[in-house]
Amino acid sequence: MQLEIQHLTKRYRGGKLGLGDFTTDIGPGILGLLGPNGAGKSTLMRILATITRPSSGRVLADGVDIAGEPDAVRRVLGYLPQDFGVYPNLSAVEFLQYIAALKGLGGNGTRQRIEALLDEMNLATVRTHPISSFSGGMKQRIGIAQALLNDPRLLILDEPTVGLDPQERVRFRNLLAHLAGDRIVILSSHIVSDIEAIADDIVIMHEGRLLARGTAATLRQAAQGRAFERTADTARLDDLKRRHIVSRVSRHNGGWEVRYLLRDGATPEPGSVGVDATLEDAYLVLTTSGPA
Amino acid sequence: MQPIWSLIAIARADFLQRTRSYGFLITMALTVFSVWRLVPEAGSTRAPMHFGDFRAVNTAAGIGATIATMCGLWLFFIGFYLVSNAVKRDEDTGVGQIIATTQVGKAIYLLGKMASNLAVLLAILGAVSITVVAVFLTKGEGGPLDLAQLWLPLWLLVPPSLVLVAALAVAAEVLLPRARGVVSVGYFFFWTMMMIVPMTAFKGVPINTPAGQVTDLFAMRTVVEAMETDLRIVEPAHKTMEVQINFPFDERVGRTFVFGGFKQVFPLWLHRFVWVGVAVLLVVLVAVPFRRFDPAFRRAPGARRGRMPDLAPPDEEFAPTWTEPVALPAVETGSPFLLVLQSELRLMLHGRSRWWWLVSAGLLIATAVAPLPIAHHYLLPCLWFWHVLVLSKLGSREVSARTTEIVFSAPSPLRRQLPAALGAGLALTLVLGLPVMLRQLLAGNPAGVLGVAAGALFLTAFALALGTWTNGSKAFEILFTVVWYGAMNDAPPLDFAGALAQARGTGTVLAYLALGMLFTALAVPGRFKQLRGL
Repeated sequence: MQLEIQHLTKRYRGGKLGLGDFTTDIGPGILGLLGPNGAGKSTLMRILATITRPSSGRVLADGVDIAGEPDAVRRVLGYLPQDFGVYPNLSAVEFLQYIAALKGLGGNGTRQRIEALLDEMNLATVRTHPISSFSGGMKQRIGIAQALLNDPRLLILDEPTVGLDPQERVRFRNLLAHLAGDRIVILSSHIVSDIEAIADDIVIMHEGRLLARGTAATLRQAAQGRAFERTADTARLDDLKRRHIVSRVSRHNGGWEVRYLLRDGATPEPGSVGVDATLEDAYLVLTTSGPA
Repeated sequence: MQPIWSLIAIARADFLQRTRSYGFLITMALTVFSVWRLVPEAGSTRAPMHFGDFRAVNTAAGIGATIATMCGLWLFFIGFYLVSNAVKRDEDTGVGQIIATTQVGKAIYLLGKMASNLAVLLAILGAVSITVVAVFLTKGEGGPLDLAQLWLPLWLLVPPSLVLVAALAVAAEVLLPRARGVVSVGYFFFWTMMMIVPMTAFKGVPINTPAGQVTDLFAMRTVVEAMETDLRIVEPAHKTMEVQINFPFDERVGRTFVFGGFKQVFPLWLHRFVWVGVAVLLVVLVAVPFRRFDPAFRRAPGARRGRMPDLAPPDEEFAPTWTEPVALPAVETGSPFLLVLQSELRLMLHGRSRWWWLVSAGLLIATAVAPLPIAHHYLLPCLWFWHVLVLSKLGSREVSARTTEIVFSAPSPLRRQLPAALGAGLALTLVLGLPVMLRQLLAGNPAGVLGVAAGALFLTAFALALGTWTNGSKAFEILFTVVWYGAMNDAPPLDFAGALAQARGTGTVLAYLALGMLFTALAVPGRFKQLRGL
């Protein structure tokens, strides 16, 4: 499957820009979306999931405009919204059976798939418990399970790791890596390390626009030679904050150990040591300074 | 002073939140329209409120008294539904938990919510006050613009009952937080009782005494008896409390009388404000069991009161060393519509208690064995009414459970899920009506069979359309309760089950059939609106 996103713009009531002239192509593999709040990640995902219609521009799925033929995508879509609910009176199995029915799935194969997904999500032991008794993480796993019900060719996951504990996150990452294959997986997260660990390809968004796209390694280049560390007293720290992008501060022998990133055109402070840039550094440089 | 400032801050924020909404604007528009509609045109021979063959001439006193009566009556009813979500909103938005971590006491918080409820209702009363002036200037039939007679009945007779409504709404939210549907339906009967009791149990208490004023909560006796005193000047044979209020409809009247206005009674009306004390006391009392948004006391279905439901065991078997996911079986397609229909039926009926099922079964059996006229006229509407909270979720369940994005991103949400929801509701209402339909068929009464079918379609489609357009279940719960009550009290236009079809012809049946089809058609743009609103 191939997605072509052409000049996609979404303007909400009141004129607020959700997405501005966004263009890119997406092929099989895992694409991670990174960006601050309001960057347009959820808007983009909701348009791709046929929930929201763009103000202008279009999305072609294997050449078919999804606004005109949303079912062309819906048939092969698995979608996990950022903020979703469940029917609290139903058990996990019953809820998945309901969503399976909505997706046109049935038969013994579907029943077996539901059981396998519950097993995969570590919910098999509570499969008949009412969902109202589930913790936040368990509900999130039900959400992930429903997205995988129809063996989707296009899997869109908006903040899928929210509410998952570290072990669950590891398990989820492995599952996605296993599932990716020849399907398109698009996921967003605020957790840079999650995206770095999972995604083959990363898009950094800011204020509705595409700032940069590439692998974690290529994106790190944006901050290469701009990451430094040094110790500082409180007065110096304040000065560093004014002049650079301070990405980490920790206590050190009564002073501060500071990691900072050079703004465009700035030079390193005396006594600083250059360090390898991380994806988080690149993300901060790009979203603070603008397109690379 | 800090608690008072906290109370004011809570009330103000809640009031602003509520009034900055389209819903409030619509409420205001409906209020203005209703006031306009209540007062007959100058020279009209029809009126919504009349005394036998008489209506009051549109003087300032006549208009003021009519509007005060209707406001006292209807704002006590509608007002409750308008304001009974102040605490729930704080729970839903999470603001409640933030407030719970502050020093604001439970009683202050709830009194703040009561004050906010009251402010909303008084804002409506303010809109009424402005409208009555415009009504007098355009529909007046004589006399000066006497603002005392126009406004004082409104502002001295009505507010005490509004304070009580504001408190009752808070009390219901605190005491019955998980039974909102039951509260919606039950309040209608409470309102009916509050209307009847003062006119029956306390009719011997003279109205122009403090006790008379306190017991006349809706001010019906106060206004009607004063107007009847003047009416008897032209019609000495007029009986006490012989008044008809048919709002929103009107009826033909032959004659008019001039109501001279209230005289020297305004100080007496101040006794009515004892209800303010009752309301405040009620809220302070319900603050005792109020759990202050403690999630541990949220009651999940099937869980015992006061305990968290048993959570699933911790995920001990999660192994960080895990590497390979289990193989997922291939997907298999099925017959989509039937599967969705089956799932919608399960969603409708799941989670009901054993007692609920027992009552359903008992009523169903009763419709099969009771004399047919009784089964059709009373038992079937009761059986359908028993399912009001099941039907009322149609069209809005996805919104209330926040599953819209999941459900509506599935293929063909308009062509598959919406018809399935309608089909599930229809299947349920028809199964419940089956004994009566079969018996009417055996009795050779096809109009009765058609009546049940039309009633089933009407109920289901009405619920679905209201659900999709209002995104909630409350509108259907209230309106169906009113329709059902009318049907049980032999109001022919509200015979939605077609029980009177044999005796009165099939006109009403066909009307409900047409309404059923109309509401079915309206549900489609309603769902479309929900889809576009995401």
